[in-house]
Amino acid sequence: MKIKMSLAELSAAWGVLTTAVPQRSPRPVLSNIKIRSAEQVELSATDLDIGIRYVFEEAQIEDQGEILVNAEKMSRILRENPSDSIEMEGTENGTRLSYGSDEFHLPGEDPSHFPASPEFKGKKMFEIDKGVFQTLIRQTAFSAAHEETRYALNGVLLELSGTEFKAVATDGKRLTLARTKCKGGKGMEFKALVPLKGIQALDKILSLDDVSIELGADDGNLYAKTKRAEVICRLLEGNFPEYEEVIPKGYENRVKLNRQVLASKLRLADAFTTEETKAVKMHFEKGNLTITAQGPESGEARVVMAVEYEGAPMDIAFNPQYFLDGMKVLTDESVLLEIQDANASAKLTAGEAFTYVIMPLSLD
Amino acid sequence: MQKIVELDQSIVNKIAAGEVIERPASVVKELVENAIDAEATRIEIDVEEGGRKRIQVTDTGYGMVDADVGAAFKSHATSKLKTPEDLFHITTLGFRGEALPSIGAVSRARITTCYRGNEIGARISMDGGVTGPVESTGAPEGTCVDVQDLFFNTPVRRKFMKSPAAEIKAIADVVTRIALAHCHIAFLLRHNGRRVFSLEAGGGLAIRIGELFEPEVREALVPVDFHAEGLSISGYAVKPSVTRQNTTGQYVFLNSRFIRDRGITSAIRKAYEGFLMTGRYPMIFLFADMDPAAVDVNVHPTKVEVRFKEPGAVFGGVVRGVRAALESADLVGTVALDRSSVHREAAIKDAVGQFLSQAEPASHTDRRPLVTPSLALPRQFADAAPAPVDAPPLKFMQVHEQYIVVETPAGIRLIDQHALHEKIHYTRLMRSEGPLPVQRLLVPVTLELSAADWSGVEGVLEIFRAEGFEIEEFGARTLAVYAVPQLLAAADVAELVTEAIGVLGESKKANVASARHELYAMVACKAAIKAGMRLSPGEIEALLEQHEAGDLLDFCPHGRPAVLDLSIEQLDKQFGRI
Repeated sequence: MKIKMSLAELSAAWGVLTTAVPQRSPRPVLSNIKIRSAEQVELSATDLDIGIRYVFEEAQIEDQGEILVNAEKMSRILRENPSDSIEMEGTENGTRLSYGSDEFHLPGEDPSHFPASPEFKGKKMFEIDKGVFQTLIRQTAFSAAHEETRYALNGVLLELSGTEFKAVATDGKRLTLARTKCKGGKGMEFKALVPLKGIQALDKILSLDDVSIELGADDGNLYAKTKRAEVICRLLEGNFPEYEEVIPKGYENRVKLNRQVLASKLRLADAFTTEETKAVKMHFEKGNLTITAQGPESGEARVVMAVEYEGAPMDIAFNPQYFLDGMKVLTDESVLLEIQDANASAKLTAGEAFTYVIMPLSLD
Repeated sequence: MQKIVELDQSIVNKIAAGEVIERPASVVKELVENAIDAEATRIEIDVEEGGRKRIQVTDTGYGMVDADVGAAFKSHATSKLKTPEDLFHITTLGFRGEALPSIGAVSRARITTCYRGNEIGARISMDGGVTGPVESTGAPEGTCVDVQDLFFNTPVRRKFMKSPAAEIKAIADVVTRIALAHCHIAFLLRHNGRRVFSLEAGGGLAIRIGELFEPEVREALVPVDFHAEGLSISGYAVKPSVTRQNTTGQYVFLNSRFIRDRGITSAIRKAYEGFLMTGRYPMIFLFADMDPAAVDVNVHPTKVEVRFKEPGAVFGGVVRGVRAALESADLVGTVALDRSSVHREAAIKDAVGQFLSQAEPASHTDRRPLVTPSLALPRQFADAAPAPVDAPPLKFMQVHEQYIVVETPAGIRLIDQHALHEKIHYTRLMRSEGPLPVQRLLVPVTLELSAADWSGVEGVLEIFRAEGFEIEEFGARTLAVYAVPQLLAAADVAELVTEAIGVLGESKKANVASARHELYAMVACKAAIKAGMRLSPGEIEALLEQHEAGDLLDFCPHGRPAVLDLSIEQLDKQFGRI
């Protein structure tokens, strides 16, 4: 095999593909990326949980075949950004890489030992706008869990029902739900609990490619396809909570808040919390929201913002970080907060598209 | 037909003298083993007040004929051994013939039995060693031994009995061990009329494990199957995704008898080498079968220890059998898997490479190209650390993804990354003063306990509540957690509570203060970075900062050092410079 590739494109593709290269693996062959040239050049990587295949745009194919290239070594070469293009050639005992005056030999590993990537043909898929999808996963992934045993929470649930597409994530203390209208996939059933690693890979691929993404799933896997890339990802097993039941309905106390002002006030109060008492108390009364924080060593903060609150005075405490995480993924000017009492969940929404449920803290 | 004969004196002499009845669990063990030897298909165990008030074992075995009943309470009367040779060829469980008289000597015991096929049964009682007459009575087929007021005439023993919760846990442990080895027998264990567990007969080992342990265990079973001359090893290894913090999850049986053997324990450890994080122990259900003549089970009165004629063969068989099972299993995707030790060499090369590249500050940001900033996984302690302000550049490196080497003015400092971080967390937790915020949970976390843990759960829940947990019983062997102290909210709630219950259930002085220590030590350990985790320079700096700022408690949760200093003088001396 012999090919010549654009280094800029290779660099971008490599960044995505390495998401699927295991850092440590009992199967050393997986620390490589497989490059295959036929009618076009195709790169693939997998850690057996996630597999990424990328079809290269600018490559000159002189000879067909397959080679394996060590992911880490190539990353090091690409980091130096040495040239416009790079030549790769399969040799008798490995792979030769060269550009300009520099040349590298990688010892040979048999490309046939690399796991074949599953076929996408015949999978039922639907299309969704790239920008919309990316927003949805970024608005939810932050609230997923990073636990070792409750696997089902370590990812984002993607669901298509009717014309509505939803992304949901929770770590058991808060839950985010982002939704959008989706015209593709009419009458199609789609529900996939995608691990965070898969979500990260999708996010990366969408950052460099295409205007839309196609999604599909079977019992155990997610299939995602853009113009240049295909991702297959093993789904998480286990029961995801009945999220619709968790989202409160019919709360009477509603207050509209300026997102940036709220974030700023919370950051001020947060500076006066400690690791042991990561808590701020919110006091709502007619016209005002007062946020207080205090710790034996950290001092005290009391910040006030004007709000249109009409209900009875109320106190409720939260981990300020939970609010700040939510503010960060939004661009809306204002958010709506709905609360019931000090022990019930709070609901924060930005229009129809974004819902964030946060559990309060009990302070005594 | 008479089944019970008095042992020949020569056999009596061959049997080491020893106390068989130490606590209620020993009574249960002896009686259940007798029932198994009587070919029972169903055994019911009723316990009251941890066995102090009453232990009743009812079986569907073949029962005893009248003549046997009279001999039952005589010392070294057994229906199992007849000649000295038999002692060296033991295949039944309760061969010592000491059980019933020993029990009868320290309690008010009554045997009611009906021999299979007979219309009328017999009854005999023994009250603190005084045997009553054999009476005829109506009784169902099988034997029922009723033991009341255990140790009533030995006040010292009675005084040393633990709390009912601790004793029933020990009983549940004993029955668990026996039940694992006898899947063809149905078991029912009740405490104060409340069911601890009920096990169906005939479902096979995997099903029985499922009945006795939490669902994660049942899902992680890998069959073990090893045969060599005179030795066969079977059962299930548990994938490294489920571990314990000691060896109590290891069930090893020799010819269906539960044993504890150091050689086998270390063989198991060896088989799991490279699959486990330090400080974690695998669970396993292992059945070794071999010629009874190749092993001496009569080393110890409780028969838990054995002596192999060829310990090397057993060791090798266990290592190979378990290792083969693990290697054939699909372990990909088991999150807790840690392969660091397998890849040490690569890790060292990486570390040196990293160290060398630290001369260029730009490479710090380059090194983690795999994580998109917008979705980066949070690393708690790195976030918590304040950015160093004008700190002099530190020279440090991580080695073996486990230790950090730092240059200090006086020499070098070696840090165990996990131990130090654990200590920082532990100090912070222990110094916190209440009332602390309690994080409410969106959906209650439910967790299923093993039968043994469930039996002692009542007393333990109070301790959790005192720490701020909202926790309730939620159906059979299940707990629901509604709120957790915020300090512990980052930990995996289900795992934390399950483990804490296990630990607290075992410790004798389960009070709030000691429980707090156990709980915090556990949380600190879980929240701390692990050995085998590669740290970015920023994370190492944050760790060192927290150490400097720390004023850490001298008391370390596990009593291990976290930091070692080597002075220039020591180094010079070692290299022969001075």
